[in-house]
Amino acid sequence: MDKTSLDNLPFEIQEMITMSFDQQDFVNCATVSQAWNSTLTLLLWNKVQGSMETAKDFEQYWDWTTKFLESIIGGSLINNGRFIESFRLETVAIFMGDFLNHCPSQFPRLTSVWLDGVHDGDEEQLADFLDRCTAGLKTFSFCPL
Amino acid sequence: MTVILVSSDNQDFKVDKEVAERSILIKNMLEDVGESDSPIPLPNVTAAVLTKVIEYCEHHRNDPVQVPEETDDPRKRSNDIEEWDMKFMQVDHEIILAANYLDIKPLLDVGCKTVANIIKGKTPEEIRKAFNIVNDFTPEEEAQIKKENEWAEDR
Repeated sequence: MDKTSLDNLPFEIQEMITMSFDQQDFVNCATVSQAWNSTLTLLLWNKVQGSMETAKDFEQYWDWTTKFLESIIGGSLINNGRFIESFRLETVAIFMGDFLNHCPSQFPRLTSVWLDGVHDGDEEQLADFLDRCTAGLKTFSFCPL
Repeated sequence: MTVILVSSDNQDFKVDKEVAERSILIKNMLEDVGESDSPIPLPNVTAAVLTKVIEYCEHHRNDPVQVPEETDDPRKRSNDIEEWDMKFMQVDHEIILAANYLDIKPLLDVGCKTVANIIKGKTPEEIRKAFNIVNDFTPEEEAQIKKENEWAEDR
C-alpha cells in the first residue's frame, strides 16, 4: 500500500481510521514524522476527556488526571488548546486559578465543556475560562465540588 | 438495465444499474435525472480506480444495505475484514478517496479499517517502515512530543 498515508487524507477519513485507536496508537502515530504529528495532534486533542465514567477504575482515572495536569503545567494546553472541540475534566485535583495560568488566551474551536468538581469561590475564574471559549459554547455543564 | 459511467480520463464503463447504485452518489444522480441513458461523468475518479471500484461493487452487488452501527462504542468496533476484501484492498489510498466521493460506505469502511489495522499496535519505527516514511524529528523534538502526550498513554 505504497501511497497510503494518514496525513494526505481528508479529516473525516482520518477520523474514521483513528476511531478504533487507543491513546497509545495516537501517541505512536504522532511520533512518526512532522506531517503525521500535525495530523495526529489535531485528532488527539480534538476531544480531551478524562472522567470517572470513561476510566476502568479509580486508579486509572487518577493516573490519567495526574499525568494530564503535569502535561498542562508543562505547556501542553497552551500549545494544543487551539485544537480542542470538546473538553471534559474533573477539576478536583487542580484549582481554577492554576488551571487558567496554563490555558491559552483563546480556545477557538471549543464548543462543548464539562467541568466537574469546581471549587467554591472559583466563579470568577470559571467566567474567565468561559470568556476564552471564543467559538461560542453549544453545551456547557459544570458540577460544583 | 445498464448505465454508462465516464471516468476523469474519459473512459466509458458500462455497468449494471444495480451495481452502479452501490454508490449512493450515483444512485441519487440516477434518481435526479429519471429515465435517461445519458452517461454519468465522474470527474474525480480515474479509469484505473473506477475499474477497482466497479470490481468491488460487482462482488458485493447482493449484499444487504448496511445498517449504521453508530450507537456502538467505536473502540469496541470490530476491525475484522472479509478475506476477499482484504486481498482487494492491496491498493493505494485513491480507492479510499473514490469510495468517499462516490459514497460507497462499506468500501470506505474496509479501506479505513485496512489502514487502521496496519497502524494499530505498532511502534513509531514499525509504522514508518510500513508506510515508507523517514523520521524527520530531532531527538529533542521526539522527547518533547512524548512529554506533551504522556497523559494519553495507557489511558
